[in-house]
Amino acid sequence: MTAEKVINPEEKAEDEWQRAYDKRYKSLELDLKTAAGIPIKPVYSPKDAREVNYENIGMPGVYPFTRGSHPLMYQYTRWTTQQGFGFGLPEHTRERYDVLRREGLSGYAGMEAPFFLIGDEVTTAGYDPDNPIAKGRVGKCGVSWCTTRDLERLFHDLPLDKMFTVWNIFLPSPIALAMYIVTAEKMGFPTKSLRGVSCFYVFEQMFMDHPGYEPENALKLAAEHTKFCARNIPYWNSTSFDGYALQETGANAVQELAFMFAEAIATTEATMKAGLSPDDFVSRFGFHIAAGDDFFENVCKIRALRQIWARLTKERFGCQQAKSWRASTIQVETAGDSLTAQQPLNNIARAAIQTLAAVLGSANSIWTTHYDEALSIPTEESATICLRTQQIILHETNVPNVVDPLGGSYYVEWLTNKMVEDVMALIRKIDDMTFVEAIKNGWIRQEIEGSAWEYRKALETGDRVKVGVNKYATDDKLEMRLHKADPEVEKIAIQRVQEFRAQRDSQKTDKALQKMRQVAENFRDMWPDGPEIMPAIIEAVRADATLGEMMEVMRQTFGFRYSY
Amino acid sequence: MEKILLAKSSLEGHDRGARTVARAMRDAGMEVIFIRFDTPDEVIRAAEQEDVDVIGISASIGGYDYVLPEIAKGLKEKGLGHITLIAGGVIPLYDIPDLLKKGVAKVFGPGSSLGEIVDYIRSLDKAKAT
Repeated sequence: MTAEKVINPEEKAEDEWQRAYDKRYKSLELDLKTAAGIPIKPVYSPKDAREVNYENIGMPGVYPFTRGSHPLMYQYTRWTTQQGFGFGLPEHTRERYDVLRREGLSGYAGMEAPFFLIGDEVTTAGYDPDNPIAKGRVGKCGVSWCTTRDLERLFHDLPLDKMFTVWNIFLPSPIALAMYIVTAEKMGFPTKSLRGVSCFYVFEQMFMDHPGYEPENALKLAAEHTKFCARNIPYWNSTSFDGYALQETGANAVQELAFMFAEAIATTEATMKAGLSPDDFVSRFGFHIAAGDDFFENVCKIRALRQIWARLTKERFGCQQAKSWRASTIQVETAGDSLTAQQPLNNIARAAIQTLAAVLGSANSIWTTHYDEALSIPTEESATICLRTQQIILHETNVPNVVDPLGGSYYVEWLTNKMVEDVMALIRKIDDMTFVEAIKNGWIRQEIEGSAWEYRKALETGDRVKVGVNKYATDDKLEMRLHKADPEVEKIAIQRVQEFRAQRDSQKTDKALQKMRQVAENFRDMWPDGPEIMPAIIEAVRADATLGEMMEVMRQTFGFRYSY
Repeated sequence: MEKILLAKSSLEGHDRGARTVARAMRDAGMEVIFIRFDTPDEVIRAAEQEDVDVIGISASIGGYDYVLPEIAKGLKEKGLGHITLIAGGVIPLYDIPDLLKKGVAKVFGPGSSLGEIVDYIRSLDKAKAT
């Protein structure tokens, strides 16, 4: 009796594939990599996926949340269309909000459309429009605002307790929040009913030429802001860690996640030092990442993000509750740096493909970038096309019917796992240096610049293709209507802030600013003991201090310097 | 050897373009000085002090339509008209003709190649040498 050889069908198929490959392609040399430089094979098979521990995949809504933050994703509620906008005076920006809302700007789980406010560079840097540094820049690429009166012009008659507001304002975030609290109160909304996120990006200085507070002080302020939000505004996200800007500066997908997480870890540890248990606040952190050129990196990056955060919260911080392990506010923005000034209509295709990747990765909110990104800020038309892109994916493709439909793909499970490993290794490297040191000695900056330079070189040689730029370029200049800034805005904004100051009780304001300074200094010197800082900021707001005046106190107290 | 002053506004964080261009220029053997400015006269002062051949302004979120003409005007007034003023960044096409009229020699918008920029600066040097 002969024993029958057990034929493993997988091995059989692989052997046949290898033989067909050798015959057809003989000595073909392949050098395939993802955009981040991860070497990949031309074909993946079951054994590649089997190497991934199933416990790292699991089911959506279940630790470690690789496949999705909840058991159902878009079947229950669509993703939020979190489109940023802002230009000119507050009333101009409010007009744009009303247009976008009419065209389908959508909130989460039946809520009102989100108001994603982009301040101009003057506001974002924390200056009033009549400061000489503001000349020529007021209301140009964002809205100019600096008083509670401006916020009333933005938000009048809106149901603030039923809508998410996103504050793209970086360093002045605590002041912006204080001003929103006071404005909302006047409109009849108690603080604890407010919903939104502060983009309190205190560490842009580590990779961009953005001034920031001294890093140790930045951490104290980040911790304090987190603590204030956790204690006073249950539906407020104290920040949304910024991977997107890292990517735009040149970081590859692995660096983007690793440096973003390094900041998240430092902020969490500082907030724990300030006396909170991580279960009190980590569920209110958001993440803001890019969807760039590499389609599968985009998908796997989102899956990897959820898995890594689950592990960090459970194993590193000791969180006990599922809500703490679950990264549930992942905002994906399609990458601006992938779009071109040449043949701009091509960008509609790029943004659509990137948006699809975000949907396949189960993002919670998506910002589709407009086709004229490399030319100007969006017009009504280009902003509406972004909404249409998302609406087409949502309503026409059936993709949202199945959670994590790419789950189980041999390549996707392998790549997700590989990205998790590479990101964790890079996080460990930063741990060895400490986050603050890695900023101060310029290491993070250097790593990102290295990637940016590699990318640039590859474009120059043509190894990396940008359609319409280094391949299929044409001389045709497409005539298109672009956003144009209104030259009257600067004059009016200056007039308004000067009137505001003239009409207030300036003695009261000065006193409140002095008090704010005292408290800020004590906060800085005594942290983690010592006073809270927010009550003094809120008092200054009630005494009609302007954004620029309060930021001046902050700059002087906490140090303001450029990247290392 | 060409000496270039690369400058960006202190309010603007975007510097990937300027840094990349600086590196390409240095690799090509040019001397590059990098500054941040609050106001246009700071650029003019630095250019004079450093005795540069070219000023390159990087701008991506506005302000260039005020800053560039101011710098061009200031250079002329101070007898520094031999310095070539160029710009790069996200500058909409519709603004370029006006900038060129007001004293900007060339605008290198998105998609410009590094080689293009380096060659342009080299060509200035040769033009001055003849």
